Formats: sequence, C-alpha cells, structure tokens
Amino acid sequence: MKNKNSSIGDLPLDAHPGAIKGGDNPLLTPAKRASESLWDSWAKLRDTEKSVTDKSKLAPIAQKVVEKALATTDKALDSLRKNRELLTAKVNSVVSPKTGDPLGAEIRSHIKAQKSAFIFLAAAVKSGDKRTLAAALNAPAYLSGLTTEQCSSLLALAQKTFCPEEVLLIENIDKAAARLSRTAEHISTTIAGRIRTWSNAADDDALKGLKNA
Amino acid sequence: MLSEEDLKSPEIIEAARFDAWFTAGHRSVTLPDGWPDGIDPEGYVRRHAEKCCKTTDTNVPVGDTPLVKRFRQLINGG
Repeated sequence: MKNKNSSIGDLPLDAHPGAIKGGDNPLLTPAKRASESLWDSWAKLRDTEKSVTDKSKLAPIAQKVVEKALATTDKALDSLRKNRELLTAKVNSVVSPKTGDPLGAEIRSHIKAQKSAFIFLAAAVKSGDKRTLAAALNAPAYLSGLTTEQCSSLLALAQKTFCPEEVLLIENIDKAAARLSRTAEHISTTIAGRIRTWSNAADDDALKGLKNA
Repeated sequence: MLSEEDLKSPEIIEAARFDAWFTAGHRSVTLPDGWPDGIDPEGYVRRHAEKCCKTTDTNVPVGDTPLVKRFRQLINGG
C-alpha cells in the first residue's frame, strides 16, 4: 500500500467564500454558495487524504466530491451570467433608452457642430442630460463626430454616473465569476492529478503481488 | 423533482451516508455499517439528495456540466 501522507495543501486565500465582495446581495448568492461548496469539498478532501491509507479507494470518492462541487459551480456561473444580463439590460435602459427620439438627428447635428463633441457629451452626462446622450449612443459614433473609443468611454461614464449601484454589482459579479472559475480550475487540475496517482496505486499493488508470486 | 425511486438509489444513499459519517467526524473512506447516532436515515438521504445529488426538475444526475466534463478530461490525461 502506498501512503505518502502527502497533503494537497490549502486553497489560495482568495478562494475563500468571504472574499466575494458584495456577497450579501441576493444576485451574488449563487457565487457565495458555490464558493462554500468548493471550499468545503477541498477541506474534506485534504483532511481525508491525510488519514487514508489505501489511496486507490479514495480516488473514486474524491472524484464524486469534486464533481458535485463543480456542478454547483457551473450552476452558479450560469445564474451569475443571467443576473449580469438583467443588470446590463437595466443599465442600458436607463443610459441609452431606444425610444427613437424624433429630434435625434437634429441633436446629433448639434453635437457634431461642437468644438469637441466628446467634452460636450461628458458635460451632458454630468448634468444628467440623458436625452442628448441617448441620441449620440443610439446611432453610429461618426454621426455625432465621435470615435468608437470615445463612444465607449462616454457609455462607461454614463453607466457609472446614472447607475452606480448596478455598475458596482456587475463588477462584483464579474470578479466573483472569475474567482469561481480560477478556484474550479485549481481544484480540477490538482485533484485530477492526484486521482490518476491514487488510481495507479491499485495497479502498483496488483503488480507487486504478481512479482512476489 | 426527486422521485421516491431516486431516494432508494444505492448511490444516493451511499453518498448521503458518506456525508453523514464525515459530518460526524469519521475520516476513513471505509464507512462503518449503518448511520451515526441520532441520524434519521430517510430524512438525511432526502435532504442530502435535494441539496447535492439531483437537479430540481429532471432526473439527470448533476455532473454532466462543462466544468465536470473538463475535470473528467483532466483525470483521463486530457
């Protein structure tokens, strides 16, 4: 029997469920639950591995434990994607509602006539003038004398100005999803390697028996 | 939803038993017979199955998801 008592070590600290920013928000609940599932599964595996003598028996159980946690993570990532889409739609409806302003073309002509369309629109954002901004954002950038990059910058500025809470939540969702993916990858890579080693322990034992025959 | 048949599945019962013994502090993969003291097996299996083993509206075992597929590939050396 192989028993090196080797430890799989600890997960990186940022994999801890408490590291999820804004975790109290219901839209981040799936991330917190999945993070807890990954963290707890890892702790169980780490503790069990230390005391198990016949590693070949550990392999199939470890696979099941990890698969459950990964399935929970996939479900959470899917929920986070949906929550993000909802928030993005909400932000877009506030920042650039597609209402088809009858004066849109005239507003864009006015914007284009400014010395700097970008500065003019940035000032519009700061003063809360959503109508002027929407006229620019709902048409190709060049019609308002903007570049595509300037349009993106204005959109980001408007989102943060008009919907600060939603934008922060979207950022937290993105960070939480990235965190979950990193943790899942770390666990998958580490445990998959161990499972291969643990499974081979059974073959080694069988061959040892043949050698001694 | 989980069916009564699902709750009789040896795989689900064994997974619940593993979880129960682990929660009770047992750390060997060779489980003792039966259940830890003070556990209602039927209720425990049901709660464990609802929490871990099945999706909510189908009988497809959880596990056939992108991350799980990737994990299996890694185990097979992919």
